[in-house]
Amino acid sequence: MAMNMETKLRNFHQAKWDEPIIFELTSPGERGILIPEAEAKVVAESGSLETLVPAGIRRKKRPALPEMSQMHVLRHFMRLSQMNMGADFTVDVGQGTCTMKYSPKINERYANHPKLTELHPLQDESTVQGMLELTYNLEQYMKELSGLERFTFQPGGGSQAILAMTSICQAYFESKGEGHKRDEIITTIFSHPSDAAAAAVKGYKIITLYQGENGLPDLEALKAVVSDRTAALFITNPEDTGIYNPEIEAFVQTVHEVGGLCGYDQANLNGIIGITRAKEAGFDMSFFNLHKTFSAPHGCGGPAGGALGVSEELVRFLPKPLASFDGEKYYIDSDLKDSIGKVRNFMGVAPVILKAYGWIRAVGAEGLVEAARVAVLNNNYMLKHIREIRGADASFGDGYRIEQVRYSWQQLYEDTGITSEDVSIRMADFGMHLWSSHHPFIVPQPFTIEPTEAYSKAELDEYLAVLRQVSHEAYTNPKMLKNAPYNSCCHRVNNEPLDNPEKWAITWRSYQNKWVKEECVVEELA
Amino acid sequence: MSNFVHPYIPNSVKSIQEEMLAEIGANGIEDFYDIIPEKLRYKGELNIPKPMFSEAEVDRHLRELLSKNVTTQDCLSFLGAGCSPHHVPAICDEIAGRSEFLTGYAGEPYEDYGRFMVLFEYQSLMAELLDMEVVNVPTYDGSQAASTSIRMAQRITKRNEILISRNISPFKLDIIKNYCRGTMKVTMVDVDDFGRTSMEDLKGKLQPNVAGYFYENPGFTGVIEDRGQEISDLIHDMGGLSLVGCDPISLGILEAPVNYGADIVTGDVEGLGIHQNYGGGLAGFIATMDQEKFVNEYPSRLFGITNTSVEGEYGFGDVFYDRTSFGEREHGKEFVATHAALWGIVAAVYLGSMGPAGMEEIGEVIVQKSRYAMNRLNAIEGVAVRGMDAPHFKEFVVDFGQTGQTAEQINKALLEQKIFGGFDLTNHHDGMENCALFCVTEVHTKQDIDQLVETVQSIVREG
Amino acid sequence: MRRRRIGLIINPVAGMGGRVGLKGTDGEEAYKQALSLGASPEVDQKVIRAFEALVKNKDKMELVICNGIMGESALRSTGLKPDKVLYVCGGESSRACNTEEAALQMLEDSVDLIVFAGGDGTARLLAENISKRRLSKPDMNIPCLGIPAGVKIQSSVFAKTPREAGDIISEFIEGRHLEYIEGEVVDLDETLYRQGIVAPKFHGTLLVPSVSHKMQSKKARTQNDENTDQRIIATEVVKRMENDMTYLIGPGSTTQKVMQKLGLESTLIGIDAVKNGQLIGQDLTETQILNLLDEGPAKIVLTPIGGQGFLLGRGNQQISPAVIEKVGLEKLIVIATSHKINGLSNRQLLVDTGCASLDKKIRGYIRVITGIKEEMVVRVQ
Repeated sequence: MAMNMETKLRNFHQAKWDEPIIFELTSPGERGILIPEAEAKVVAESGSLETLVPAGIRRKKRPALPEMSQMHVLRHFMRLSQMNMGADFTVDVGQGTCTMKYSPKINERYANHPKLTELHPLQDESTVQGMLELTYNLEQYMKELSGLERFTFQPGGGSQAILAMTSICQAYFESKGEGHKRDEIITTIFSHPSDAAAAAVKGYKIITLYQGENGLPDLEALKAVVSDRTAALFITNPEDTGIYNPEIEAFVQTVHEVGGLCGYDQANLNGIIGITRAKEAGFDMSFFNLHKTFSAPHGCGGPAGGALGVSEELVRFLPKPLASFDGEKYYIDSDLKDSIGKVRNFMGVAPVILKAYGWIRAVGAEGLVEAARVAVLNNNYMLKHIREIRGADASFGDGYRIEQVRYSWQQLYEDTGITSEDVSIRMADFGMHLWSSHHPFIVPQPFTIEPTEAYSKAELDEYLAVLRQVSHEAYTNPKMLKNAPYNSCCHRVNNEPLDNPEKWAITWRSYQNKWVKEECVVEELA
Repeated sequence: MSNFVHPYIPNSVKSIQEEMLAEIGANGIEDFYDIIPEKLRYKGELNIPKPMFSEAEVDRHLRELLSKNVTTQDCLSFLGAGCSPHHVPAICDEIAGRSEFLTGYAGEPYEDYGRFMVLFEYQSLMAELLDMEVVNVPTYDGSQAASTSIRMAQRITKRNEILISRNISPFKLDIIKNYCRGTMKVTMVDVDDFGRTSMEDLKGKLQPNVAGYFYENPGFTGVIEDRGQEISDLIHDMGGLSLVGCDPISLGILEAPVNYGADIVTGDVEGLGIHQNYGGGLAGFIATMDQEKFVNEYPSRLFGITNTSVEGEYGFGDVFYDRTSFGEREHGKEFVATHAALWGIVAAVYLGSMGPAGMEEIGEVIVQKSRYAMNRLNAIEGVAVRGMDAPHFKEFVVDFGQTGQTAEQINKALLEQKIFGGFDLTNHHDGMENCALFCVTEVHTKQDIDQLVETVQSIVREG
Repeated sequence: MRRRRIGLIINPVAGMGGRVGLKGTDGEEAYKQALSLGASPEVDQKVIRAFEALVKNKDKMELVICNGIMGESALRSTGLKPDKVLYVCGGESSRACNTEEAALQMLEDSVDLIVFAGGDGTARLLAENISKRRLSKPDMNIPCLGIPAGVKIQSSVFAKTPREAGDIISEFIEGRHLEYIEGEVVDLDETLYRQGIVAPKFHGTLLVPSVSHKMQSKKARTQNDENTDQRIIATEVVKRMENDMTYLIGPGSTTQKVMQKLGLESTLIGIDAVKNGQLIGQDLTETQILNLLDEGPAKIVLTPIGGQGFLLGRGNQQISPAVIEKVGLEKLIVIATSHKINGLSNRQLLVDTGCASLDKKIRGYIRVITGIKEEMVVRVQ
């Protein structure tokens, strides 16, 4: 039996191994890998461990790592991988804001090639011309897409790029003698939480603009709070609601008028690549997520890449070093006198940089714009259909959206008692993801969908069919829903202990102490 | 443009687009962009190359580009300084390439059960190595972990100054300084000729406003510190926290820092089954004991194990906690973000493969081989290894000052012989002109080391 | 775990007026008017919706209800059986229904949670009675939760919907983790209300359970619960206090935490004055305040009250237009947790001092302190 092509629903069951925790698989004496021994002459000339490491610092108790032979280790982790739902397996439109698009395998071939994996970051320039050329060219594309002057790939992700933006802001005002005075950074409530949190790390006071009726931040609110204490505005646009702020230029002007800087969080770039840019809106800084719009895979949460671009005036503050070109050869430029230093070691995550580069070369200028357009088409297609699903609605009005939408199951909840979380969990029974929202939960019972350009109409229809099915189940069989999932890797998780300091176990040894030993004691007493 | 179809964009087929537009009731895709003011619409040409439509073109292009690189497999490399050459077990590559993990992200502990469990195992395996109870899901790199541990100390002690040992990577120091600028004062603590903490200087600087002291063991120059307990006691007496950075691959033979009084232990899992990746294979860890005052301060996710509605089944989720006990706190607890989870998964496979015996053996081999290299290089006339008499792990500083050549010149000459010499410290570390940091691990055979020594010898003689 | 004892009070006339265009049905006249226009009690439906969620918990709870239309009739439809029935309702007529008596008896009965279906009027009764009891037994702060079923819902002691109320009560019964917030009980001046003038009066607080908002976003570790956030804001306010400056501390639970931070006694619903960390005036009248203002510069610390976010209303007679003019608008310090702001029904704060020109000056946007070095910009209407 195959998937029902009419209803588009599958009789899915995820791999379920009931796999023990690795420590439970230990078999004393077994070896997973053997280490090359030091040659006899080396041992003779260097000495034994006792002479080489002072007694006081020598390890006394063996680390209690499991002992397993190689195939068993492999099998264990292979099974765990089967119990994970990567974008390669599912129609991954339900992880809104994450831009889960296709990570082309041709790029994987070269990201895993020894000519990249075996490079050391401190090698002589002459030996890494290929890597530098790749990085430099990627920078040129980023410049085109933003209109900004120079890019660094050092930040390991979007949030670290925000940290870098904040640091540049700080350095800039210090250089003008205004460091102490400018202590406020403004952001909006639907911008990514890191726009506030990363800026707060550097000691800034964070002013958040609340949203208006239409879900957009109010220009009047911004005007009411800018002053000579404003260091910067950090804003995501379109915000996670999927709504583009048409007044963005006015926002930037308002901040510039008081001498502040503007930083563009372009995590939500996918719907506007090549269609509208940071420069024309007036931004001084902007960053892109290489693992979102630019196709590098997410790796369960990294490694990733944040490409940060700045205007000419701010170039001197960029973290060092930068991959540069002198007309003949590529070189590593560490000579940025006013640099903020570093936010991360070395020059970025090379495999991620390669994957972004490979994707852009494959789709080209035309493809970048087409990707954006199709992402937006896909999103509005889903928007139309989701609005028709019983119990669901899009937040903030009837219009179109850009690349994602923040929806709400509030009506479903009121009618049936089924929450957004319940729906997400039931989606697992169909092999699908569905994500809710970043904090704060302004939209009640939220769910956020971002199709990207990577899925076909048929696949979008498949996802919609599952959403409809779950909505239908909520109205007809809520009790069943409340106890989902049934076809997944485990059953309903008991979250209570995770909140209780006496029960939470972040490691196996804590689990032994807090759960297992206690049970043994109870058994003994009984 | 109207014929543009791409394998990565299924709905680039125009007939499908028309179908979809009809269903939506829109005239064209342009309708959706109406909200963007005309003025902000980019009308220029994007100076980005045309598409390489065929995959064969992309394949060739990337191959040709990368072929311009000369790697640590093409040459003999002794570079370390935060990115170490270690053998990557083939099964680590196998799991790193599992697309379920590679293309996974942030699903629920149901359909993404594997991710939660594997990262829980990573946390647990590291905890055994570190002999501690709480380890976080990996952060960007060890320097970020160190920076966060410093800010955690600030929040816990409510003090705004941090002491840092001078024997630290210049990169790490830059990162920490940037992270702390605007909120904390950074004061450096001197080191002795071996590169270990000067107890006298430390004592003098441990003032009431100090949140803690951060140092690494082994230090940046590879020297092993064995007075850790004494250092911790000094700090604790002043109400501060002992923050220690360590190298996980040394923990088979070196004591876990917690056992000499460290409160927050950080480091990087680079090298634990992860390729060098031009510096992209880094992932930081932060470890503490399971006390609320510490757990409360982690900015990153902590995965915990629990049960489910079915007896005997394991379940997983995020540990979160009640902060009612902390009415006063430093402004914000940093940020949660996408860091370096996949490397944590790979490190878990590595540690699972190595087991206690493997970790012991690799530590022993590294310490023997690096000592062998130290001895032989030091024996070359004009060349001196700093801190010869102090115990070292994996790395050591070679001083070329007496050779009449700069470290740069030596390295250039080594390169001509297809050897990557140590990291030139001349512009990066005070008092280290014409010194280079050499890294020797289990991947270097006696023959490799002898080749280095003989080449250096001939370069020095000719110069 | 012992079974939780839940008390239920239904105000049978609440909510009727809305359907027929009246504003509230307290008082016999209004009730008669409503009935004559064809209104029928909506309240029961809401209670049933809320209590549907509890059927699965019936073995873990004990129910104490009121007789007749104050509880029995609604509960019958849910299939739940009460463990105890209080006789406080004389018959079918609401005249004979004594909500106050019900509240008193519930409190005597040592219930763990009082659920009430009604509006601000009912909330006020409960608040006042619990407050009285606490004079002799300060530890007896029994949590209450309102099922919204009245037209007048200004107080922040209600769940957003009956469905949500049911879920909260369910979590309570199961011993799940909940936050307890001091919700403000706000009532509107009846007569003015019928004339279309909104003049809220703050009557104190009730301890209200709510689903901890940190629970919603497991992946974001940086959220605190409401009480912690309030304490943090209080810390920030105290840190910024200047020497020789008089601070008038307005009513509300957030502002009360400022007083607690200073270690001073406070009047929850009145205005206190603080200077150099000392209490220099308690529960002040307008005149007393004006006199104080003669003595030196001052600032006013305010927090929005109730679910609608009343910042300054005619119900607040002490902080009159005269006081505000004398202090100066720029000396207003507004504090609230971001959770509170996010929960405002209209995403804005309300101001109605009675002086049109002053109101006009205040309207626009205002900075609200929501934490240490954290502010939100909110619209004032």
